[in-house]
Amino acid sequence: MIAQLPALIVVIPLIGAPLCMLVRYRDWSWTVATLCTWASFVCAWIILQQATSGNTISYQMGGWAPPLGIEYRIDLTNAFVLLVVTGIGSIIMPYARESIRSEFGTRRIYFFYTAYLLCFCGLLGVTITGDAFNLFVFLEINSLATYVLIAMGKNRRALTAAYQYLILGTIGATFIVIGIGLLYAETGTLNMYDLSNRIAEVGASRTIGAAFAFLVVGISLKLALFPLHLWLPNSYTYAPSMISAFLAATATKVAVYVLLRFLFTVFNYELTFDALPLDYILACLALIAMFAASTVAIFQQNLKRMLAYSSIAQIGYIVLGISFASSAGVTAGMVHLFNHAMIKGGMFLALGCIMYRVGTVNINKLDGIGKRMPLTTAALILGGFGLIGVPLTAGFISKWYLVTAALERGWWPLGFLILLSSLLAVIYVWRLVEAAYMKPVPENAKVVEEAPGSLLFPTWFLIGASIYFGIETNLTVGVAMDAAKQLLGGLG
Amino acid sequence: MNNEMKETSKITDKRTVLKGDYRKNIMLWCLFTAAIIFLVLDLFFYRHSGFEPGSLGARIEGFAGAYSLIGLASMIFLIFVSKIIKKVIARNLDYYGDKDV
Amino acid sequence: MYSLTSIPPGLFIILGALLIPIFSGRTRNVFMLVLPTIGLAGLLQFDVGIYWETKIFNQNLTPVRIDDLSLVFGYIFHLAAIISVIYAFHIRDTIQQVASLVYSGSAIGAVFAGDLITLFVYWEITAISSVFLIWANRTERSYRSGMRYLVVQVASGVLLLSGSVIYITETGSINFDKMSLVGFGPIFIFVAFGIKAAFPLVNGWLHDAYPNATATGTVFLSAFTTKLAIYALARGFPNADILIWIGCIMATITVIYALLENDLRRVMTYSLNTQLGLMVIAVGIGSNLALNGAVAHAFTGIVYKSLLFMVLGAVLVQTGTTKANELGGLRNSMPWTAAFAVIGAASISAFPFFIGFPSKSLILSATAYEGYWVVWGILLFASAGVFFNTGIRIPYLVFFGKQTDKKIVEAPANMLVAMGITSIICLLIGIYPKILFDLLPFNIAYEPYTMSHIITQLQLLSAAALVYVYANNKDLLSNNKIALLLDVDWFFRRGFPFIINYVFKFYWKIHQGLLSNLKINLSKIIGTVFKHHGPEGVLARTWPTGSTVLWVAILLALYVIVYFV
Repeated sequence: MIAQLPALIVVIPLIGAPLCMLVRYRDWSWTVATLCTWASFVCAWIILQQATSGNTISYQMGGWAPPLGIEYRIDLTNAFVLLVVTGIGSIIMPYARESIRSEFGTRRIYFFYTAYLLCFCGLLGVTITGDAFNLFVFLEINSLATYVLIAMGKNRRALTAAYQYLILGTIGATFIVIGIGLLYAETGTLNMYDLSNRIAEVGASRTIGAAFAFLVVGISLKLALFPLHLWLPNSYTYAPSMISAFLAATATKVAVYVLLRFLFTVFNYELTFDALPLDYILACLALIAMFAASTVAIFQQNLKRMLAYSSIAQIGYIVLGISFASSAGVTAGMVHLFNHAMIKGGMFLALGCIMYRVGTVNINKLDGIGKRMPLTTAALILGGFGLIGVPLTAGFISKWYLVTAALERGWWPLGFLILLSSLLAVIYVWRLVEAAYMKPVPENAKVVEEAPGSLLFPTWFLIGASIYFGIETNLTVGVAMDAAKQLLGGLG
Repeated sequence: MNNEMKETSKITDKRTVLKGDYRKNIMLWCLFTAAIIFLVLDLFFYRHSGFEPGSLGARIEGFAGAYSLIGLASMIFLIFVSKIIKKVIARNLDYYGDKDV
Repeated sequence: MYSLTSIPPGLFIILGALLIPIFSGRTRNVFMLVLPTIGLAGLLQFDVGIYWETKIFNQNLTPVRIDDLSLVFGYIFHLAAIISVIYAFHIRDTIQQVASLVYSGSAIGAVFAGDLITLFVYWEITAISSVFLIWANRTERSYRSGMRYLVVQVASGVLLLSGSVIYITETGSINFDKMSLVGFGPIFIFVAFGIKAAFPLVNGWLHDAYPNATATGTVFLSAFTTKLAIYALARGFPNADILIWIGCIMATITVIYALLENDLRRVMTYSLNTQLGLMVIAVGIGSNLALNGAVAHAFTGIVYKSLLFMVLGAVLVQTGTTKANELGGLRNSMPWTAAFAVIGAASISAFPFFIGFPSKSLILSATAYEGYWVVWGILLFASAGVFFNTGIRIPYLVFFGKQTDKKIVEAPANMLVAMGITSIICLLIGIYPKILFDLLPFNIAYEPYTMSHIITQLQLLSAAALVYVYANNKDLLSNNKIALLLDVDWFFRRGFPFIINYVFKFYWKIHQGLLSNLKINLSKIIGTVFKHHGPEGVLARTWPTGSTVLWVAILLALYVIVYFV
């Protein structure tokens, strides 16, 4: 049973998806989806335990030996990401029931859960697989399901947003498949570990260079690295609240994982950072993302959009960590990957609560919300503190390691820029505080009460986790450090 | 009558002034005496210096009444320097404006 | 008494202070008095050592480190808190009450912080809580002044944090111990300490903000922030030569300023700064005797400074001013306060048998032992100058000089009690300095009351007094034109705004010059930022499939070109 876990973790949601269609009835389909996600979470937890013992788990699909067969290969890095994805995916399920009922309606709700499970399954597949083409396939499963999920938003613009993401996502996917194709042409294999060996043998040829460029650009699009972030704000804004939370916390994180995997495992260090000044390019883009996106976030009226831009900035931090190309930098990136998933997931859920009660997340209409929905607002603000990086929140840990890594790399001006960009976060979080607590409740405001427990609990669970991981860092930093060491193979 | 009043006030004025001056002078003489006494005491008591014997510091500190002299000189110096510096740094009270005080 | 040692010193007072709003009226005041008293009792229970060591963020935090150096400061801070609370017993202002105790507690916590991160946290709490004591005046003036104060204090905290981060990454050690002044990390930390210790050029906040705090607030303020910085310097940078010269400059310049100033509370801040200079010199000399001197002087400084600030506070409360030209002859209406003022003045001037004498002797001797004769001369100049400015001038101008006609009565009882206790301490330690010397971090036999110390000090003081009386008789000291003195705060109030204004105007001219031909609306220029970043801005545009594709192409080309070139 335990040996089959790597397969099960993907197969459970994959089977669950059509099951949802079959049972049709809304509560049953929700139950199926919940059970599937939770089962996957348990699998991910056990896998992480195995991975932390230091062994790389290799699972051969259908008993076909790699490099011909598809191999699922799990080391600490993807075990860590698996945990994030399944964790977030299962925590928000209790939230989904009420939230989706109010935003999507009750008719054909099983479509929603089907798409959700497919999306979930796609993400897990991308993370777990050790086969480059298989990765592409799962990426497409995930992407297609995501388009559907975004289109299910209440606002009609959700359709356009989904359409736009469809176009851009497809371009990204195409680039990725072109990159993989070029690699295959040059090396004749699709297995990542095989690829990495063969690339090392072949050395830096033009084909591999081109493959590398296509892959990095394609993945950058998927992870919404500036300036390829343009699909993200609309998708996050118009998708159902719970989907915004899920995507913000997991989808871009998985894309980051893919980037890490290709940069450090498939292409070796010399090719990535010696032949190409990728560290400088990535650092530049990341810096621009941090400042430009945060500045845009300050001016947003729609809070979901504000958080979306903030996400782009936070992705900047993660990529900045990766661009240091050192063990410390990758550690910082992965720690922030985890912490940001908690913080942003929690904040989007809190906004979902507000959406559920007030029906809007426009900051102009939320004056005095802190008095009307104290628990929700407190969660939102605490999450905001995490984004700023106030000590004793998870955000502080991320920034701490990021600044440390910058100093270690000798790029100490970056340390100051990181702190400076946090000030921008102070501004947009301050806007929240001001609207929520400083402004009086308008006279004609409709009476709203605190969000129901099923919505509040997951929100506070994630926010609480973001505080908890701000104090207890053994899981995050410990695992991230080991994973970074594994990824860099003793380098840096 | 008018004249009389004027005269009395003049006298009181003179008195207070005299009184003030008198007090001030008494004060001055007392201090002067005290300073002299301490100076003289210096001659009678053995003074242990903190500086290493023979060093420049010991020579400066060593002679009788060194501290009196330093006190006198430095305070005169202080008054003169402050007069000069005041010319540079003094500004009208409303320099920073009425509000921004 | 197990329970007293179950909360870190300092934190106990901070947490307790948060409970203040629960109580009201007299109960609240009693509670506020009990807090630091129990804190002190608790501190007496602690043994030397390290407590509550915890691992957080993979670093070993040492929230409480009790050793000889920190203990002295711990005791005196508690004492200062108790006295200041008595002095502020009549205040009915929740914000001020909470802020004052949080401030005291955080200063105590900072002294016992064993690592840089804990130190930073407390450091910032002192900054943030103390500003409320300035704002509590609730005037435009105090608000602005407090704002400037806050900016400088927070800047000090930020420097401390950045310095610490660099230091920790470079050395791997988070502990707050002696550092050598090499590299960015220690230098940043040094500057952070220097700001709070009111080094020259960064001392504007002291003279700007303290005189603008409330009468009771200044008493709290004078005790903690700067002495905390002295502690930090003594802990982190003893024996740093540069400190000696910084201290000399501090001590001399501020003496001159003090003489020229008319507002007596500001005179006090200048003389406070002079005293800090003496301590900084002692820390810079760094021998065991000198460090003892610095610590002892910080201790005695807190006592007599508090006393004098309390006296001036009482005068402020009773008469509504501390301007020298508006005061005089209060000895008849405020006899007790006058007596305390004389004791305070004698202490700050280091008259024998008053508290200032033993500590100043320590520093003087330490300087002489190390052979710094120039520094020794400056010390004498500064001592005489402080006597001149504060020792004679303040009591003379307020209580003796010309009589004022105002109907003025003695200060409230609680203020008198606080001043009385402090005066007793002044005399007690002045007469039995052994009480203080036993607390000092280094065990050194030192006898302040030798005939030679007493005579030389009296020589110095009598000569200075002679000059004062003579100059006063000849009217050389009269402030015939009461003026505002420029200080470093000018940069905040005039300099930076001026530069920004100038740069902006310059930029504006260029901008207009360039654009006037194009006849572009001014509003458009202002909206540039909004244009790019606003909701409909270029960077926030929402339906950009085409542009993304363009970017994809550009990036791809970039990678390929970079790779193949």
